[in-house]
Amino acid sequence: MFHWELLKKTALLGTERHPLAPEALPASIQGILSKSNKNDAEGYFLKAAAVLYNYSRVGQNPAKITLPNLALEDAETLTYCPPKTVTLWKKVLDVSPANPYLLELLLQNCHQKQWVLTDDLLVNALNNTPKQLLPQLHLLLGVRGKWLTQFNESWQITDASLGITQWEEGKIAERKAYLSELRLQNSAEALSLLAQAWPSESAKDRKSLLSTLKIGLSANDEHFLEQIHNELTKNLTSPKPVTLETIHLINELRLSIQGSRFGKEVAEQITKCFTKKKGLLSAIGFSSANYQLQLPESETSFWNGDEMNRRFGFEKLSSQKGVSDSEYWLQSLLRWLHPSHLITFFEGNLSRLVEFFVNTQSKNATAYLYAFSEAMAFASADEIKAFLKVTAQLEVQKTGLLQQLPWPDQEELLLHHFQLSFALVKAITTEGPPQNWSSQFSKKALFSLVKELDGSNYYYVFSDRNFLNQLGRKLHVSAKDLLYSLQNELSQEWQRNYWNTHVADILFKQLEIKEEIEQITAL
Amino acid sequence: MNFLTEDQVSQLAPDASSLKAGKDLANERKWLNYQSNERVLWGEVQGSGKDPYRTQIDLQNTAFKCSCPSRKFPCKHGLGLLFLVARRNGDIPQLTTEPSWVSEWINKRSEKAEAKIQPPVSEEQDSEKTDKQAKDKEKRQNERLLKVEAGIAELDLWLRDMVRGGLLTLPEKGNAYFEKMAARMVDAQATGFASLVKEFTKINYYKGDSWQPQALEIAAKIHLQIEAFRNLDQLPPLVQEEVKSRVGWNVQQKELLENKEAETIDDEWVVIGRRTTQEEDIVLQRNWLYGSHSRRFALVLNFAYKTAAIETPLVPGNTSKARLVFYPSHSTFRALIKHHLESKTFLPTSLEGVENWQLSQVEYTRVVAQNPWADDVPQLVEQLQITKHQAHWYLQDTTGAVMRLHDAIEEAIIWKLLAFTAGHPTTLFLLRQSTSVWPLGIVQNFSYQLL
Repeated sequence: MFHWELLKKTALLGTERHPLAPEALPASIQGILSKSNKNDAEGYFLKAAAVLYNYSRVGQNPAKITLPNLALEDAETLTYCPPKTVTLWKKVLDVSPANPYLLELLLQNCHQKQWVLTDDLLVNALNNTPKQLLPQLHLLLGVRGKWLTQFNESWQITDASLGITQWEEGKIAERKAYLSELRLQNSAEALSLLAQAWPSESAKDRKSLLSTLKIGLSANDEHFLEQIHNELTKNLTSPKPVTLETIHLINELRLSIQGSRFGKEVAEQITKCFTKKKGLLSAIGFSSANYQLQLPESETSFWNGDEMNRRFGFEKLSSQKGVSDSEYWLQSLLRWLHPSHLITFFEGNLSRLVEFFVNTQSKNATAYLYAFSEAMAFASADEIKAFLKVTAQLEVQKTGLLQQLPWPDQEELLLHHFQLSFALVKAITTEGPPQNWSSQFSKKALFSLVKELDGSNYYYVFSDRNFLNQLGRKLHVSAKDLLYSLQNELSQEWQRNYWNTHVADILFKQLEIKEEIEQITAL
Repeated sequence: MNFLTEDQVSQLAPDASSLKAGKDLANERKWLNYQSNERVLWGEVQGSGKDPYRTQIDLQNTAFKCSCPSRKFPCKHGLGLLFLVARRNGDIPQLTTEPSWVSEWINKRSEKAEAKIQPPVSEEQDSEKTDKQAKDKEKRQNERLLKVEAGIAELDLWLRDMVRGGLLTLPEKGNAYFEKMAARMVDAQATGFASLVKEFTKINYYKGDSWQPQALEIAAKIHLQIEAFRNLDQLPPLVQEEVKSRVGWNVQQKELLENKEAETIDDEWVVIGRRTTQEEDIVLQRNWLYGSHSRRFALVLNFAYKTAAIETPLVPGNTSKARLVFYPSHSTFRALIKHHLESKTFLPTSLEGVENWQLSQVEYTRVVAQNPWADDVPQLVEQLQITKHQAHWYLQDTTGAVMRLHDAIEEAIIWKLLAFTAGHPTTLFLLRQSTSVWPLGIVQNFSYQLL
């Protein structure tokens, strides 16, 4: 800005009210102005302004001041990514926003090779890496990249780990997050922390914190649950709704513990209703269908509405048409009860167990099996696998159970036992950790996508970029050869165009990138 | 083969959607065929039409032709083909013999280029016709001069009224007050003054007092230009040309290219930076060049209406072997490309700049003294080190002198500068203003890194 202060008053007030006094101006400027007509106040002022403007522009030498030397002194000791990988990085970062799943794979493979990013990649990589992948990116930044992060806060890793202060001083959501995290790492310590805090917690917070015990629930939790159950149910006259809800949660947890006393009690009540059929075949135990479900027709001390509502929070009466009250309560209990009780009852034979539910002479047969499949989440991996095999064609909770199995087991089930629906492909694609699908399974998955598109008039699910991104990460790279030919499976022109532009183009590019990322480890 | 990098291809995209579409087309499967040789790259791509589109790229002069109906330039197919080649590091099928639809186009371009180098000897003009044309031109010039003089007299009165009453009343006047005077200047065929008056409308009058010196600065510039025009006869001929150009007497491109007296320089020109801005409906592309042998700076401007195409062989970061013709002016940078031979990705020679800010200031002063209207002065300054003080970024030379980076500079430029230099001294091309600088790129040995 030029010597504004010298002209300010005249400029703001105007030459009429405050003519310019040239005495304050630099001598050289006064010299130039001396040739001008002072009586032409406006012309005189404008000339002064014009001359001073240029005088200021050229008359100031840059200041000499002491500023911090930011230069990085340390030299890089690690190896830089080779040129081919630099090109690959540019390709991955070029898509905006970058596919985080492929980026993660690239980060892992480069880290495996102990490479660091070249200077020309640093800014682009730091700007386009999602926050959750920043810790992995930092492993590849090298000396220069790490030095660079000090200048931009959004490039720095924020310490997301939860500390004990969050538990002691945080809001309920933070405290719950801390307890959940601790429960994953050390369930006993988390239980002990909760037990210590329990007496001083509000009723609402108790319920909220108690739900964290679902993580890593085991027999070690039973004593605490029994204890708080006794405390809460003692002298219970007119409890608040939140207290009742806490009691129901305690009972749910107690039921879900393998081998718990309470679970055994309830299982006994349930299996009492599994009665042996009369007849020749059942007498010699020939058929697995030799049991039938016979729920009590009138209320008993266990099978009654008040009891079910008080202990578990179930409705006193069934609201489902054609489903009796006791059928509804059984269905609800099956969802919570640890599956080992019924598996043991059927002598470890899951086929017989499933057959029993399927053959139940009830409109609720499907619901029983579905509820039981939810409880199967507490079973062992072998039991889950066996259960999924026998229920492959039945309506049960599949996605959640599949995810408890290692990927090769999942793939075996999906390839050889399951009908692969689009919904199932989408669920296993978007839920669960990244896996590398086999070429055989990738093919089957892509066919299910095409089939889904073929049967629809307008299909928008492929516009879900996250789904396609995850698919690009999981599909086998050989699937790219199949992508464009799959259009031949589609019956309408618009579907073929849609497939090519909205699916094949995107996945092809991603699989090309994936292929190159996979080649890194072979370098 | 001479291929562009992905970064350079991105610079050619007319807009973000073309860039994205171009990248999507960098997929081999989309192309029915694609080949190249040393001078041309071509391919056929299936679009929405019945016949495939034919895309051709002149590799030596970075020119495009495509049979698609797109009005954008280059179209997504041209960009896609270049991206494809960049991703394959130039490794694409080579074919010496071009198909006829390619050779037809590229041969025509070569013929035109040769014709530009050696213009045919003009036939003897009919002297009577020439005299008449000259007289008509003079008549038109005189008529325009009278119009401009009348317009300037009106502007001078308006400006004097403004300073008589004081600037304090400006915020109340509203944009219409300035736009009306700008329109009067357009009517008076003094478009340069119209642009200056419009600068008043760009000031934020509601952000503290900072508008006050800004407004006076514009008033001072207008007055300087008025006075220069009124005293035109007393100025040296080249300064006269500069003043006339500032007022709005634009030298026609054709006229300049045909002007045998205009200064021309053959050199290997490094395209040191490009800035594209839009004022109302006009897109202005500024290309800053540096002659690696002549050590001259040049500014090549390209204009387009709204989204219309800007065709230029200049690729930022590359070196163009070309003949430039300079506009007549004292100390001007503005030039036109008279002939473009080829584009290279490396610097042809090592480049040396001024050693420190003091010498940069001397050079800046020289330019401003010759041309007080000069805004951005391009320079090559050595041994500059980026540093930070109280949320502002600076470039410090080896003597400890500092220049502040322009406030409007994008953060990305600062991050790149840090990443490439690690805070160590480096040689930079930059645009120098009186109190701040705008870095354009880094010179490292024989390579130039755009920022």
